[in-house]
Amino acid sequence: MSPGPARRLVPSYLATGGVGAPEHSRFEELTALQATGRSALPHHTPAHQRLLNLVSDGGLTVMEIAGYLRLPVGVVKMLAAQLVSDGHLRAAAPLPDALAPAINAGRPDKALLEEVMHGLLAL
Amino acid sequence: MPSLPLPPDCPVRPRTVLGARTSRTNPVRTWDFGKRAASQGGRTDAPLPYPRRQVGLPGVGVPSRPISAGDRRSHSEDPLSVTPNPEAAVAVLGAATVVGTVAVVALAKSRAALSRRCAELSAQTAEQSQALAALQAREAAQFEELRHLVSSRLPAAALHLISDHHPVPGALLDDGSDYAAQIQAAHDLFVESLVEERGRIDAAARAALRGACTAIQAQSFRLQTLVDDLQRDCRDPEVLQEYFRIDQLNERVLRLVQKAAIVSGSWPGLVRPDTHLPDVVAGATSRLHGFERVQVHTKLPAGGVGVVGRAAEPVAVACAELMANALESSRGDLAVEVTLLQTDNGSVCVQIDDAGKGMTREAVARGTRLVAGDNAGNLLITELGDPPALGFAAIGQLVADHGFHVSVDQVSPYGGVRAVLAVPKHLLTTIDETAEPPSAMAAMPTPAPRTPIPPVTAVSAEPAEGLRDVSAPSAGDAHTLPQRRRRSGSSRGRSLTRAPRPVDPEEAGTAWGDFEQAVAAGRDGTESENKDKS
Repeated sequence: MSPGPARRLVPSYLATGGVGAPEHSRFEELTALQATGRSALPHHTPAHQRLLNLVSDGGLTVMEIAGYLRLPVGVVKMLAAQLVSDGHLRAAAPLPDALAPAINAGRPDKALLEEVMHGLLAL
Repeated sequence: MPSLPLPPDCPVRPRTVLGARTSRTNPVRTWDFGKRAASQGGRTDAPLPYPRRQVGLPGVGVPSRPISAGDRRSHSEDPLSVTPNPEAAVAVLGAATVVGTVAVVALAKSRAALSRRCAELSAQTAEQSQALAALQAREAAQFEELRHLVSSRLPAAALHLISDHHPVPGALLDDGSDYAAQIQAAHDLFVESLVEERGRIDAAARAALRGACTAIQAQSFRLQTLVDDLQRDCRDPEVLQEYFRIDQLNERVLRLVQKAAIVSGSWPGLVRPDTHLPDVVAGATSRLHGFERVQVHTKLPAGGVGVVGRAAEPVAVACAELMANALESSRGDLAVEVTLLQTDNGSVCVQIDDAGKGMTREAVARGTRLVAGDNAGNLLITELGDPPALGFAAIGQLVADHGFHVSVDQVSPYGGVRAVLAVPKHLLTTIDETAEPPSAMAAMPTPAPRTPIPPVTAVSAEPAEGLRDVSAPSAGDAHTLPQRRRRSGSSRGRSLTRAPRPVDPEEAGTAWGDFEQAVAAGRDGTESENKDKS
C-alpha cells in the first residue's frame, strides 16, 4: 500500500464548466489576450475568473496564461475562446507575425530567442 | 346414587329406629351412642365391640331387617311369652342375637371398608382423569408452541435479521419449564447460525467486490493518466472536448468503484500530499454527473487552509458522495450550493445545500446512523439494499477511519437537505499559497469588503490567490504588470530559480524595445547579435 505517484486531483475539464469552445475560435499559443474590462458573469468558472484577473492589468499570451494557471494550453485556448465570445477578452494576433516585415517571413529561430532571453535576464 | 356412609370412627350418628322401645323414647330419631344400646337392652352380656347402628343398603329399607327388629321387639315386649323352657329360649335367643349382632357388625364393617375403597378408587380415578386432562392440555400447548416456533417465530427472526422493522413474536409458553427453555434454545441456535452464516457469505461477497473494485480502480487510474497526458498535448479544442468527455466518464467510473471498494473494506486507493480544501472540494465536484450545477463558495480566511495528506482523498470521497446525493435528489436545473467556512472552534465545514424534496424521516435516521460510522466494521452489504446504496456506508467507513464528522439531518434553506462535513482541527494544515497555490479550478475566495474603486480596475483589485504577489499593495499597484511566480521544484530553466523582482513599467518598456531591436538584428545578421550581446 505504498503511495504511488502523485495523482491529479482536479481535472482540467472543470475549468471550462462543461461547455465546449465556440466553433470559430482559432487561437495560437502566442495570441495575446487583453481584458475588455467587463467583470465575470455568474456562469464563469473560477478558472475564467482567474484568467480575467491575470489579464486585467495588461495583455498576456495564451502560453503565458497556461503557465500561470498551470493548465494545458488547449484548455486555456478553450477558456479564452469562451471569454472572447462573451465579450470579456480581446484577442490580438500573435506578436512574431505582427513583427514580421513581410507576410511570409519566417519566425526567429529558437536559439536566437534564447540568446535574447538570456540577455534580457542579464540586464 | 347411594348416600355415602359416614366415617367409621364417628361416635354420633343419626339413626332411624323402628320399634316400640325406641319409638317411645324418641318417636322419630334418636342419637344412639354405642354403649347405650347394650346397657338399656340388658339382653346382651358383653358390650358390643362395634357401635350398633342401622346401616341401609342401597335400595333396601331398614324395615327389611327382620332379625334385629323382630327379635328385639318380641324380646322386649314379651319377655315371658309361652315357652316350654324359658331359659333355653333365652339362651337361644341371646345366642341368636349375639350372632346376628356380630354378623351385622361384620357386614357393616366390610361394607364400610368397601365404601372406603370405593371412595378411594373413585378419588384416584378422578385424580387420574384430571392428570390426564392436564397432560393432554400440556401436550396440546407444547404442540402449539412448536407450531408457533416453526411457522411464526423462526420466519420472523429471519426477517428481523434483514430489517429491524419486522417484529419477532415471543414464546407462547413462558412458564420457565424445560420445554420452553429448549424451544428458546432452538430459536437462539437458529438465529445464531443464521447470523454466522450471513457474516460468512457477506465476507465472501465483500472480498469478491473488493478484489474486482481494486483491479478496476487501478485500470481507471491508468486511463486517467493517459487521458490527462493526451489533454496536455492536445491543441485542437474539439478533440480536447472529446477527451474531456472521456475523462469525466472515467472519473465517474472511478468514483463508483472507489465507493464500492471502500464499503467492502478497502482503502481509498491513493495518498495525496497536503491539499488545499478548495481543491479537495473541486476534485470531488469533478467526479459527479452534473458537476456544472455545483456552485462552490469559499468563506475561508486567507492563508491556505489545507487538509492533511492522509485525509485529503477520504474527505474528497465523502464530499463527492454528499454532493452526488444533493445532485440526484434535486431537479436538473437547480443548483447545489456548497459553502466552505471555518468555524470558531477551528474546524472547517463543507456545507452542501440542495433544493430537492428532502429525505424522509426514515431515510434521515438511516443516513445518520450510517454516516456516524459507529458500526462501520460490522456493516453488511446485504443490509444496504439491492442494488446496494453505498454512499452513506462509504462515508461511515471513512468517518470511522479518519475522524471527520458528517451530518445529514438538517434541512437546507431551500427545503432540501443540508449536509455538513466538518473537518476537525487535527486534520487541517496550513499550506503556503505562494509556494503551492491552489489549482485554477478551485473556488475563488469571497472578496473582503473594500473601498469603492474605479470600475476598470475592479477585477484587478480582487486578488487572485497565489497568482500575484500578495505583499504588493493593491491601491498603488494598479499599473504594474502581473507578478510572475515561480513553481517550486520546477526545472524549466535557470530563470525560474531567480527570485521575483518588482517590475518598473519604464524598465519593462526599455527591455521590450531592446527585444524588438534584437529580433530585427537577428533577422539581419549574426554580427549585430554579437554586438548587442556584448
